[in-house]
Amino acid sequence: MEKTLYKTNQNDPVIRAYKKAVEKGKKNQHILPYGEKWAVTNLASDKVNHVIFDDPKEAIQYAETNATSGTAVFIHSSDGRIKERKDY
Amino acid sequence: MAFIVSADEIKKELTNYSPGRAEEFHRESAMKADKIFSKALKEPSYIGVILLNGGTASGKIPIIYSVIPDDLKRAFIAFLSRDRKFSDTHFYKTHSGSRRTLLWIAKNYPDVEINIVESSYTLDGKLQFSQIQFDQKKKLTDYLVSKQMTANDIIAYVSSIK
Repeated sequence: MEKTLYKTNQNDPVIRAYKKAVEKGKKNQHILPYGEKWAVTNLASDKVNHVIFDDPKEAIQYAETNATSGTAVFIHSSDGRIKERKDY
Repeated sequence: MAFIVSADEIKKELTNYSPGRAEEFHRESAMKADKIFSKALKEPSYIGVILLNGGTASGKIPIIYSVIPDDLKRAFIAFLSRDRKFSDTHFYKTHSGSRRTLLWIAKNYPDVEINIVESSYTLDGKLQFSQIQFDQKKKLTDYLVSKQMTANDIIAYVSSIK
């Protein structure tokens, strides 16, 4: 399967907005089901960065304590969908 | 199912239309097609809406360019941080629906040119786009089959922890 690479202007406003959203998004915290437990993670696949809790309330408390201005905490339900978003 | 809007088909429904006078009806049918297309885009039951600007007989073949991210989790991270806000359900529905629609078009409309563009990140953080070349239609179809994900598949993928 061959690929032809397009020239992409990294300063294009659309490209910059997308990259900015990715960088900003990596600072957000997600509380996800993790087996029988709950994990706090930034979702970024290139970096394992999660803390495990038995009780989802403890996970939420941990994420809220560590939330910085301009970031968000996403609380997922046990099926993985987002049930709540908290902006800081 | 995808909804297809064809100005050529709309022409046939217009009063006094005859194939020999098709050109006279072009403007009216195109305007109607635009209206129907706009309305169809708002219809939640359609997974895709295609506006055909002309059939193969007129020499105008619809061309589709579809961007597929190499990393759906990164796309989800960006989606949640954009200025425009949508529920996460929107992400699952659109990413599963667009893949399903593309495959459906590839199977049912072999004349439609489908171009797949993959978005990816370089190690030094540059966003790049590459068009994937398929020398046979079957390879494109096989690729689209391999990319099929239901909304639940996407939920499971983006919420998994490696």
